[in-house]
Amino acid sequence: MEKKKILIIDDEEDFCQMMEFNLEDSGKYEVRMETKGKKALAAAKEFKPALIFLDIVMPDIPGDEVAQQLRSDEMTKDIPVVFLTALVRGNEVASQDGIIGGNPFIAKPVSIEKLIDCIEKNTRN
Amino acid sequence: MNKLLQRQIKKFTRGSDSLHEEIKPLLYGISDAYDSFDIDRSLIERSLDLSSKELTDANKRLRQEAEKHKAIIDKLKSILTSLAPDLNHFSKESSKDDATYFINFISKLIDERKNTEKALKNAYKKLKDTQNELIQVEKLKVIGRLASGVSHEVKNPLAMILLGVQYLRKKIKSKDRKVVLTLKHMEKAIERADKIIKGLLDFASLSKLDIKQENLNSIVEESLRLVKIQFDKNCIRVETDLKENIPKVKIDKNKIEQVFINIFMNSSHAMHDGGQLTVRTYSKKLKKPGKDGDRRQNDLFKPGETMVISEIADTGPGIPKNILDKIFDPFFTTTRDKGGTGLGLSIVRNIIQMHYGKIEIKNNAKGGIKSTLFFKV
Ligand SMILES: Nc1ncnc2c1ncn2[C@@H]1O[C@H](COP(=O)(O)OP(=O)(O)OP(=O)(O)O)[C@@H](O)[C@H]1O
Ligand SMILES: [Mg+2]
Repeated sequence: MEKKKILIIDDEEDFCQMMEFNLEDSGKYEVRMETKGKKALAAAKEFKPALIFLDIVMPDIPGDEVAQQLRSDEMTKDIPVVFLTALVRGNEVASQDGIIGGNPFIAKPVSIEKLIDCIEKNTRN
Repeated sequence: MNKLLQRQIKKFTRGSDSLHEEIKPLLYGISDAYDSFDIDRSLIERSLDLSSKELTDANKRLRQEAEKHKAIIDKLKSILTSLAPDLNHFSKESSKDDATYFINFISKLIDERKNTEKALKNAYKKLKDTQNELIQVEKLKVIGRLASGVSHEVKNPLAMILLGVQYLRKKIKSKDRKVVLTLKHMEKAIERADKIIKGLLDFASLSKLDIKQENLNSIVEESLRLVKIQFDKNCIRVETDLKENIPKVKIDKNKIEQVFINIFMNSSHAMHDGGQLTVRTYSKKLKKPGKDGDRRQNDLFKPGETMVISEIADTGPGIPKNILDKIFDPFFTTTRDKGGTGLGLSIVRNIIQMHYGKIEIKNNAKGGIKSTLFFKV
């Protein structure tokens, strides 16, 4: 079975690495990480992932702007984007997978089971 | 020479200007006396003139004051007569007895003054309350900014630690009980820290309410739907008695939903071996104060005002008397070992207060607790 390519865009390098370790350990995914929001579009064009995890709060450029760039580029517009956010209130995560601006989001901290569940829900096999 | 003296000498000498040289010094002496008298007289006249002016002024003032007094007395009299018809009657009766009338008049004046004082005090209290509310809102805004900052800074490391612990759990694959427990406790600790941050964010979001006219019944139903899985797991039956004709209430739907969810979750924890939850809604018009037991709500709800009330009762163990006054304190919890943060009820109370409503939690006579929520229409 071919491994799904997952791109993680998050300025927290340690967190990216933990996601990478866990996802690659499952044997089902090939992971690449990018800690600079500004390089996200280029990385997506080159890597051609099946799904992108995108942090909303990043120092150089906000995640929703990156999402806008991805949506308006012919090469990346169809790649599903899942937001990662540390700013979700208790009642907003009553149903853990909510929607922000048309994109699904995941609240940090998140378990590996939920991450995998989310990937499988948002990508085709 | 003094002009008056000159004229008098002319008259005396029949028009002759010639004066005997010997009496000249004497005449000049007299002239001086005449002059100084003139000065004195003008001084006296001036002072007389002044005092008369002062007198008329003073008179005018007195007259004006008297008129003012009369107006005040007339006003007071009209207040007196409007105070009570029997007083009016009394004042006519007692006109024969001026002393009694006067005493009554004065005592009424004192009453009037007391009432004014009371009204002033009330106005002052209201002002202070408003001020306190504003301070509270300001505080919440500051907490809000702080909380989202803290949330971001804490949740990111938590996210990293959680995935790290999960990775280790998979890699270590140890059967050692201590290793397994250690990893489990670490995950639980992360969950707890996360829950506290969520609670803080909930607290923080209280400064901005999105108030609309809402039907409380549908909010109750939606909240029940959201806790259904939890209730099923604990075998909790739900009974509702939601009156259809209750008026709409001005509330923030999401926040009030959170109020119900927090209360429902508390009952769910309290009845982990099963039980029954009863939710009622109804409206009630407050009677005049003093006639019924609603007096204690007078501060928030005025007599004649309609309130919408929701009662939530469970059949759990109830709340021990000695902690009943602590349950609304932030971080007070008896369920820390099961992941409780103690923020649930303090958030509930804050939300209700932001809506100018009221919450009461009491032990039921038959066991369990009953929470009563009062909403303004
Ligand atoms: N229905 C209930 N029955 C018995 N005790 C209750 C009930 N509701 C609340 N309490 C008591 O009040 C305390 C405070 O409640 P609160 O909701 O603030 O915190 P918590 O439920 O312990 O924590 P959290 O809300 O974070 O899960 C509880 O720990 C419990 O002791
Ligand atoms: Mg609670």
